Amino acid sequence: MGKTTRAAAKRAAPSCARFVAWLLMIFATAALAGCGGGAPVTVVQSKKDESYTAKLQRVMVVRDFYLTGMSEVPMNGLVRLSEIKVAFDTKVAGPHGVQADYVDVTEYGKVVRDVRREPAVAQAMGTFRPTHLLELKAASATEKASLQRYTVDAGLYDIASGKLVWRSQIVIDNMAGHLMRVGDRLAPAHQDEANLFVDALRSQLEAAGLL
Amino acid sequence: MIRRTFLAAILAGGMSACAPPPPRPVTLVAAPDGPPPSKIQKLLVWLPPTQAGELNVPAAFGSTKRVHVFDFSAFGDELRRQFEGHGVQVLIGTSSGFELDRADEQRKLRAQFRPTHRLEVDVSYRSAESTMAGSARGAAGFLWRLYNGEDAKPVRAGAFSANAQQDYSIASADGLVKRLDEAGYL
Repeated sequence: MGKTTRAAAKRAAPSCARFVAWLLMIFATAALAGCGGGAPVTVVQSKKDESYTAKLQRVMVVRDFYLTGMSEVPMNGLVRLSEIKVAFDTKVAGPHGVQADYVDVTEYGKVVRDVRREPAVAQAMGTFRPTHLLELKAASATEKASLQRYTVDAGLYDIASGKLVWRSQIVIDNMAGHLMRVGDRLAPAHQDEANLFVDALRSQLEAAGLL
Repeated sequence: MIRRTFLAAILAGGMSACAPPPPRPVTLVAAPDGPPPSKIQKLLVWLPPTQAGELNVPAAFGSTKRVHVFDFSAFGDELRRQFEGHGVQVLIGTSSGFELDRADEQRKLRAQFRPTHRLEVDVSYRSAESTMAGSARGAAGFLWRLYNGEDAKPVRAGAFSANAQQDYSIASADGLVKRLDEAGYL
């Protein structure tokens, strides 16, 4: 009986090793394929009202990143307002002499139709008196266990006329250049993505002559 | 007999799990200080571009799969068919999908057609999700607004949604016309 078991175990050993090797190969292929080869931040398109000549002086940056249907955990995969503030202060406000204030209207389950009518924005506008409002609105998202990538529709409003004078569509890819990434459940930091995102914003605003 | 009943129960359960969720009804809200409804005679329908009804859903090994969520062409055709049934003249225009000033994009059509009302549809969100097990789903939400003539403020507005499991283009057009009919616009 013992002999038979030992023989069976002996026969099973190579097939077990082969199975583990197969599994490892599948995981390695999946991980490599899943590693996004693209850039972490991509500008899809930008547009400016050509008749508009004013430059940014006092800008209110409003983050509106909740998307209907998005569950709560993947929201941790979005760049935070504090991270945008650090990047914007360093890369746009400081170097270009622009004064900036920041408001976050992002809230799980809350759909914002018009940020300018949000009480928090209206209140901040009353005290800060901006010349422009820069709305950062999430337009689409792709999830696979965690937030993989999302598109931000950035729109610049001239406060005096209430008109949208510039907009840009920017994709933030959380997986680009990562073999693996900390899950959204652990609320990872996104300062690198925020820096690249603000770099993209700055380059588009500069190209449009708004800075 | 028991085995057959058990099998039938499993099959029924499986079928209901695979059935796409029913479409969310088209909603309608009236502007709080808006004018009373006026009969629509000439309607300019403004729709997002075709590609706004498609989504890239993550697939196996980092690749993506393009899925169809909403057919704006079928939606527009159904709107036209139903509105014309109510004696409304319809002109359908398509947005560039990246507008700064919508009135500017519509200028030519408005001047030619002189609509009594405008019905504008916008994409409010698009999301794609796939599980580690490989199943994928795509969803999109739309906002619609009805304006009187050249007005900048809508008189009625609402929302509807779609998903990649089933095409709700016709049902959404049907629901929208019904809402406007109930509100006294037809």
